[in-house]
Amino acid sequence: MASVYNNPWVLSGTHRNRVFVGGSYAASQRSLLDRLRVVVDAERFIPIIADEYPLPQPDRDIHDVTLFLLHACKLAVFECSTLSGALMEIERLADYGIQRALLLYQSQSTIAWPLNPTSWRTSQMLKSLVTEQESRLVVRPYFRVRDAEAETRRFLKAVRRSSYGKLHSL
Amino acid sequence: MANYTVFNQGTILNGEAQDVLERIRKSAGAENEEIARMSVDEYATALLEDAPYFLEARLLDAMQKQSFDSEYDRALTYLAQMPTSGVRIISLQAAQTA
Repeated sequence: MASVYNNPWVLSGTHRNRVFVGGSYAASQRSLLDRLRVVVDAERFIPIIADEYPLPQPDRDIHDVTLFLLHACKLAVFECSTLSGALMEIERLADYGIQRALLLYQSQSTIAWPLNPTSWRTSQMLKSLVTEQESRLVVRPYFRVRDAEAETRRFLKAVRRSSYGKLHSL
Repeated sequence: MANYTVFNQGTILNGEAQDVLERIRKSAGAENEEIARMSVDEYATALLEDAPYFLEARLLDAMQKQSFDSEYDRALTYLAQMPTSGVRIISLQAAQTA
């Protein structure tokens, strides 16, 4: 929930260590984002969840402020089991120079997309975007919430120790 | 064991996978404390653990089905396939069989 202590114009951390945590903010799914926030924090990155920032005029500002927050991050983790406003954020990842984004989806299949094309039930638009940007977007399935947490932890560990190439010094 | 010639961000390295991997680790470790503290075994394990986040899923699946002389050879090959790694295998001389 929005807090008066979160000011989008004065963010903690730096562009290099902020991780945008996105997905559906619906009440039924919001708790997962909180769990992912704990993991991001534990891995010594700065979690940014857009709905924790106040909006002066909510009906008008949610799009612009959310994208502003995304632009302030170099990494991102999205829960993508359901279609949500996160699609607009994912669309902009390349433009905003997000180096790596982890896209999580819930599945009971042991074989992940794209090896199992039906494992990830989402739009062909999103799948085609991910296929085109596979060097930037990492798609991983999870079964239980703790699996999503573990995936996020491994993703951030991998990024932190990827001291080579374009990710150097992340 | 196979002998590699590897391009590592402007430097050419020659040797067996373990030796080449250790020199890449030292180079990376100069600017990354976590890697600096690792042994070459730990570094190879970390590269294999991290591969799903840097390699396209179908390529990784295909490579996981391949056999390698050692886990060092596997880790070096994975690293060289990561688009952002800056590491590329230029040539590979297979081990001589008796």
